[in-house]
Amino acid sequence: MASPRFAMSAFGEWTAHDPRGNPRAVDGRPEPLGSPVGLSAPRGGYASFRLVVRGRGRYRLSARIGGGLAVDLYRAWYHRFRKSGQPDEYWPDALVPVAPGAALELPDRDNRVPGQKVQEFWVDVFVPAGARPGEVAGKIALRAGAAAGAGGDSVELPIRVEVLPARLPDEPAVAMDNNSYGCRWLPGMYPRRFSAARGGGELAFWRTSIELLHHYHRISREHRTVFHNLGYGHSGQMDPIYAPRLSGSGRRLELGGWGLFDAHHGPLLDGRAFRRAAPGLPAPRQAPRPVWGVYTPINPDWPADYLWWKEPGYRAEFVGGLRQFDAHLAAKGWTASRIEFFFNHKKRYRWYEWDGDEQKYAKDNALHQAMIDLWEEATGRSRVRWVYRADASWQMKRQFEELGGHRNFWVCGGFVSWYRREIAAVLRRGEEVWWYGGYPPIGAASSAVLQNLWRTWARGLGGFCHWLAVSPGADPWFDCNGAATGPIYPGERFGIPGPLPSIRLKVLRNGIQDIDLLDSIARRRGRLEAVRRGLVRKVPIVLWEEPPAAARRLPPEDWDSENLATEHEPVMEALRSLAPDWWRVVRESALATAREVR
Amino acid sequence: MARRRPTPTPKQMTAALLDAAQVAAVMVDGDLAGRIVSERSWRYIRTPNPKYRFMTGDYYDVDHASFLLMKKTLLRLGRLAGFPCGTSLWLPVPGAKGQVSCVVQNGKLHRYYRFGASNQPTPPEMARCLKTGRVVAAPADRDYVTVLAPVRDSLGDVVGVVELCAASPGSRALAPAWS
Repeated sequence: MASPRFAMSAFGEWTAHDPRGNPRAVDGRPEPLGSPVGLSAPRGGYASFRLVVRGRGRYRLSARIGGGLAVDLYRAWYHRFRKSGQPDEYWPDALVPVAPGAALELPDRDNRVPGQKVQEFWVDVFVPAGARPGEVAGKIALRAGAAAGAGGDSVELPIRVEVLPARLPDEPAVAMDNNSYGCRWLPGMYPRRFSAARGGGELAFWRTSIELLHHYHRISREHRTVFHNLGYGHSGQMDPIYAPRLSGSGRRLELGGWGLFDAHHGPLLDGRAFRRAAPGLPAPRQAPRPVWGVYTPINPDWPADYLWWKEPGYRAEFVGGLRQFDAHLAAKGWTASRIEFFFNHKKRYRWYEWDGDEQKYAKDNALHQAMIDLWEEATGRSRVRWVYRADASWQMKRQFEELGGHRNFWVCGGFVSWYRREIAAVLRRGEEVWWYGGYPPIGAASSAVLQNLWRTWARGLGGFCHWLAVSPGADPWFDCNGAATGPIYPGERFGIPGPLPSIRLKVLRNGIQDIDLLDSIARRRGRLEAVRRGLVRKVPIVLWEEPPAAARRLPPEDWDSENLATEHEPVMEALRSLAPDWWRVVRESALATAREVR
Repeated sequence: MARRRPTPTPKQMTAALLDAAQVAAVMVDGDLAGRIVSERSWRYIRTPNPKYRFMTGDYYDVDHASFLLMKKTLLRLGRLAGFPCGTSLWLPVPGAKGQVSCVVQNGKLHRYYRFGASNQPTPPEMARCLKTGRVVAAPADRDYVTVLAPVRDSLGDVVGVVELCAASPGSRALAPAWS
């Protein structure tokens, strides 16, 4: 009997293989999962593994599983990394959904990898919230060549899933945020989708932009993350999907023409957007609910004209305009999500004399305070869930002192690790605290994407903003820059008019799920801090540090990357001292806790 | 029903901007312009740190009052045109021959500013404006109609340039500042 031309093997989610079948060195020793592949998942959650198919020729993959569970298959794209004077490297990240029974081939002509011998797939097993705890069997089947019909190769990989009694909460314990700016990046990523809408004129252009932005919200929600999209630029200008129209001035300023604003924000703020999935991706696995929060169009030049700044007319326009904006949200019943009063402008771009974002100079606090006063005058008694969001870095300690106590939502830079006591005080005041940074590039260890998740939860913070998550580079497919700003990819080259997930996003989701299990169960038992302390002792990541000498000696106005001897830009520098499977202690603890639930 | 105002031609736009530029040349205060940017900011613009490229931006600071006064003056000048017009103040970088820096700007219409750039070589028409002290219409451009006005200080020296910039009738869609 001829030996099969194809073989399948399963590996843990933190081990990548290159297209020749070599495990990636930064991921450590590969973790073969054997056969059957043993997995454990809470109800309402996922268990995942990487499937490596070895062989040559055409084949089809399918999955079957019982107990009402579902299996989602994704083909990993091998991104080409050009190396000067060295052979190109190829590593998997973007995930293309595999339709049931879809024809595949090895080597994959589309991916164009010289000498490709294996194809990696990501396998998600989803356990519905109503599934019965216990063991469920399933399998992945590969049919090759003529067997796509009959008589060829057929290989099967059995799966055994332990459905845990614990149920994952709907709302994650920490908000891991995918941030983005404006919508003008969309036509470049989805030219066919926009081309199809061309006949509809400008309105169709904006409706297409809204539709695509909603897909980014959907893919983020289904990966237990959050999506933010800031409309206005540093100038204060913005496209019409982000704000109603202004007319009149001074006391007679009026907001109107809400059509595009409502079409964009309404389905997010009442949850309707989450009734369906992004194209090509599985149907929503969670009940629809409103988004965590949204930016607003408010900036120094909206709704008030900056020409009147510091004059009575500015107050009239700002407070009057904001009251109308607030009344519109309240009338629509959009009161569940956080509405973020936030300034993003920076003086370095020359539009304004003060920093709204990451302010370096303490003197700018006075301008923030002036804006807070106007905002509170307009919205102090509102039913709308307003928060004053400040992205704080150099001056965060002083900002906590001078600008706190105003329904604050702090999003702190990396210096947050110097301020353990101050953060504790801010949290005691009931203010929300996130911090921000970036995703690791594709070349980092697969588990690196979990480091900032860990720091967030272990420090007791509410979230982490990945400052840019939708921009994987000019050519992420064949000339990849590491895609540190883009773990969400455009699907159009694969015929999917919407975003694609990635291995980094999947690994992050599964980590969030672990934290959610630990957090929700420990919280119910009144043991949250004890559980957190216990795990902090086991995970070798430093959470709090002493500020460097320069930071103790000099005011923030005089700090810089050189005298602090650290880069403060939000670029993720993954800890290399960690074992590639460092998360295992968290995973095992989460699963053990979930098994105890009755 | 309100009648729609006809779109001006590039020639009409240039004429309107030339008129506004004459006003700018009289109204914009060169001494005030010189007080906007802090000395340390100029130092880092002139000599960026080769290792930390964002340090120039981190150290950028302005005098609030001078900046605001200039910004409001420019905002008012922009409204003279009768159509959307961006206004920016450009100053030569002290100690860096041939380099200019945008110091104040308004709106999204700008021909020379490159997002995040702290300085750049002086465009030829801007150099001409600085050298001659005359209002200069920039060469035709697919996207912008631009006129430059000289800025004088109390000594009578030309110390900067105001850029008045409008979207050309045939321009491509201009994105807000993110692009």
